Amino acid sequence: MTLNVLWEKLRKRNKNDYRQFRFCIVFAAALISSYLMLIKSPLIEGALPEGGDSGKIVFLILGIAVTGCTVFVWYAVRLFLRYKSREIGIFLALGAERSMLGKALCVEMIKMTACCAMEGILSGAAGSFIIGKLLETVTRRYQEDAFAFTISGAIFSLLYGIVLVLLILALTVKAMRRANIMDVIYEQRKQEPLRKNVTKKYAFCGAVLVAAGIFLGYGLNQIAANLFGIFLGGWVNVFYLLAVIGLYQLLVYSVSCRQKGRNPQKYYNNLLYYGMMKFQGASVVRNMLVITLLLMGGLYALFYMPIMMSGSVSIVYEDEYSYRYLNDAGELTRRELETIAEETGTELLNYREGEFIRVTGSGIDRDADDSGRFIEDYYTDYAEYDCTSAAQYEKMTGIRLDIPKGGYYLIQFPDAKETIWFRFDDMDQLYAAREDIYLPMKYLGNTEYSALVITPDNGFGHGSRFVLNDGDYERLKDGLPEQKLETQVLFDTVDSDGEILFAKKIFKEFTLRMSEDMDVKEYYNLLKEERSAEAEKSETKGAFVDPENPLAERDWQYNPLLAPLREQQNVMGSAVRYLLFVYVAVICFAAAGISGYTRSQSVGIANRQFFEDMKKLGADRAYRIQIMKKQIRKIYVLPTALGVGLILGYSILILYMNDGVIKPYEVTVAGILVLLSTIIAGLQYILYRKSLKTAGRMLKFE
Amino acid sequence: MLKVNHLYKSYETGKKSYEVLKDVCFEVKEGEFVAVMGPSGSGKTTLLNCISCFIPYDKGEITLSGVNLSSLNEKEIAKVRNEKLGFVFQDFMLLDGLTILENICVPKAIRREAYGQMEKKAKTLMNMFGIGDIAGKYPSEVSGGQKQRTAVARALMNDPLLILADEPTGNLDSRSGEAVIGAFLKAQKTLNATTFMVTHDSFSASYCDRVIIMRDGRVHTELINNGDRKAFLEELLNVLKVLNGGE
Repeated sequence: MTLNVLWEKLRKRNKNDYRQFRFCIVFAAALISSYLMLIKSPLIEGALPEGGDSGKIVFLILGIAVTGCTVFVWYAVRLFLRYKSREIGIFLALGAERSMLGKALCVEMIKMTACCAMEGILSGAAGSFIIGKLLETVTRRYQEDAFAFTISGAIFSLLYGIVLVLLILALTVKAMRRANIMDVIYEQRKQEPLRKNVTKKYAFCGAVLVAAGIFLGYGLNQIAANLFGIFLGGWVNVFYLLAVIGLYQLLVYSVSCRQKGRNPQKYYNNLLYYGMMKFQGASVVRNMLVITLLLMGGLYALFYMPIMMSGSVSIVYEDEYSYRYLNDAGELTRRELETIAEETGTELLNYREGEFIRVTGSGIDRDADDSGRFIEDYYTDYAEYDCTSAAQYEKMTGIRLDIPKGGYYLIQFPDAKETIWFRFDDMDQLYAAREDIYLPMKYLGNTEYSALVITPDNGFGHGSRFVLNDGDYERLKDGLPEQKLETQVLFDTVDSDGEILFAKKIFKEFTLRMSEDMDVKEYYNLLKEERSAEAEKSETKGAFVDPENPLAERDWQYNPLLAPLREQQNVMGSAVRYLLFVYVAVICFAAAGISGYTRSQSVGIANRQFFEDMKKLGADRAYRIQIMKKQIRKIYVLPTALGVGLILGYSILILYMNDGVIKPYEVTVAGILVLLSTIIAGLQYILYRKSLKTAGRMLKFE
Repeated sequence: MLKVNHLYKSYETGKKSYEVLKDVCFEVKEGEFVAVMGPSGSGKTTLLNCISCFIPYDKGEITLSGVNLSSLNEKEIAKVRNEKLGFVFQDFMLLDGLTILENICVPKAIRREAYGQMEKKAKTLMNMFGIGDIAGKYPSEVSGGQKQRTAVARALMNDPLLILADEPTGNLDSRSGEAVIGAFLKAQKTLNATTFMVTHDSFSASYCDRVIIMRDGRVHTELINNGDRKAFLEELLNVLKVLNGGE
């Protein structure tokens, strides 16, 4: 009988401890590897624009996922080592050499973790295959690439498996290095007293800090800009830390508040419970805070879908195709478009062309200086704007506008709102080149036509497009060279399978045929470049666009609106993003669940002697069960209530603050958020029941 | 056998330092059964933990068969614990996943001894202490007294120079406690085992050859058993009564 044989026997007898540990590693490895295999598959890689924000989000989420999974593996390992510590302590006390014991434990942990990681990676591969194929089916219309396993996906998954092995090895070595055998033996009964003696004032401060943290973190920038003209910048997010501190205070109060107050009976009824909490409070509060934050993170990720959906329903384009080009570019003619449509099995509908001119006009440049002070600079020659006449506008859109001389309308989205950076009436004069004078202009209002808002900054600032009086338009147009004249094209196509191919061909031709002046990035402003000092000139010349790949990220001022491609991008982008956020949600909930469950078991481990003593003092089974329930309820109820309540409130605040009102569809979204919160609270309840059962078994209540 | 010379040990709590052992000196001879008694906080368990090398001490010397324990490195300490010392804890410290027989075999398994000899020795000890019939059972399936006798058998597996027992009867009823003390006496008589036991129980201590009484971290007095157990118990109770503030 060797030490390894004894070790093996102990493993067989303590299956439950091992099962939980194994489950956590398999689960973490499966989640991360399925995620990695998905994002590294051609299906997702093809759908994410190269170097774009979506790609960054994917890797940000990967970071969150890896952190979340690693945290709950860390929790599980610590709990497992707590179980093992008694065995280790006894072996040490009986004369086993620390190095020999450490080696045996490390070998066991490495073997077990490696096996579990492999199981996880294989399960992850199966999971990613199922999800990938499902996604492939759903997006078949918009995506040419199929799901496939890649070497990079497999390598990264293996790397994560190695990270898990190394993490567990490091924690095991750390556990083995403890010098004092008595601490190791009594590790399971370790107590962490909460020394704070707190009052209602402390809890009140906590509540104020939570409210202040959310208010300042979310709204301070807007308030400062609106009231004082100061842009404070991203650092205001630091205020969210106040909310975390406040949350901690509330949790500390909930655990350590023990005053007779007006209800001394309640105080005495809970005396034993208070006593238990007093010596485990610190770790309980820590756990409660982690669970609260994880639930908030998970719900925030889950809420992303309905909140984003509510945002996307607001823009409806009147035309499927809308693009503009300068007249010196040899762009596609109507005849050429019809030929491409014929080749790809589709047909042009409702084709219109309209004329715009590029005219120098005034505007206001708003920015924040180094000290955060908001600055406004008025320029007579602010930018070259797109201007059209009322007649041309009516020809393109069918909307008739009566515009007096010197008046103008701004073309905008429906429900467009002014921001701290842009106002509707920033332009008040336009330059007539032939006469060499500035014509004073007056803002009359907005005219809504989304398909014409294809310029930078959502049709604000240097991307503004105006409709002018016909007479003014002719005066401004007089003497302009060809490269200052612009053609706007609008049309639809009949629904057919060839639409995507048609759109791709147009995109390619349109891009290849651009003129020199069109070859600029989205934020290029010729006049701003001219007035900037040489050193401050931006590098906005030279568009960033790939004619062969319409899905790739691009930075181009003349980017066309091609609905089928846009839909393809949206569907794939949204599907991928939703999927990824679901991953984050699952990881957060899993980590919160494991954290709560392991803490509940710690209640059992740490209080075994306490419950035994209570039994000796005459406490019956029901009484002891009641005390145990109270302890475990504490771990679940308040964190769930706080986590769900706060994030729900915060999300509804976002819906409101977006435009200052809660619209009917936002009420539906809020309803969905409440439903999701209820489901998560329900899951927490199921976990609570399961934890009660486990802890009860541990304390022999069954 | 065991010599403790001018031993000092203190604990730090925050900025305060509490001296738990102050200049403790005594000796235990081979084959002797010695108990340490005293009020709570007198330093009994700390003394035992220092001798066990579970915790370090500040000053002084502990020698076992002429070997200074403080001069040993970790590997040598492990060897001493395994071969020279046997341990019996108040809450038994048996491994729940191993049977009674397997638990007793652990000290030899650590030494990687041949299993034939190991099992033979374990069975001899089990029969000696009346637990032979529960060899295949797990700790959760046997009584407290049987668990503690298993722990005594385990402590004797490697024929140690000294058995260190921390409140071995503390968690047992009087009948089981008596059986455990019986096991120590049997080990002393049959195997010439030396036992150093920390206890609160005067009845258990009355079986010992000698009782060291501690108070406030110092050796207060030593009582020697002259063979009349009842008279020794009486003497012990009187000393403890005075120590606890009685007349």
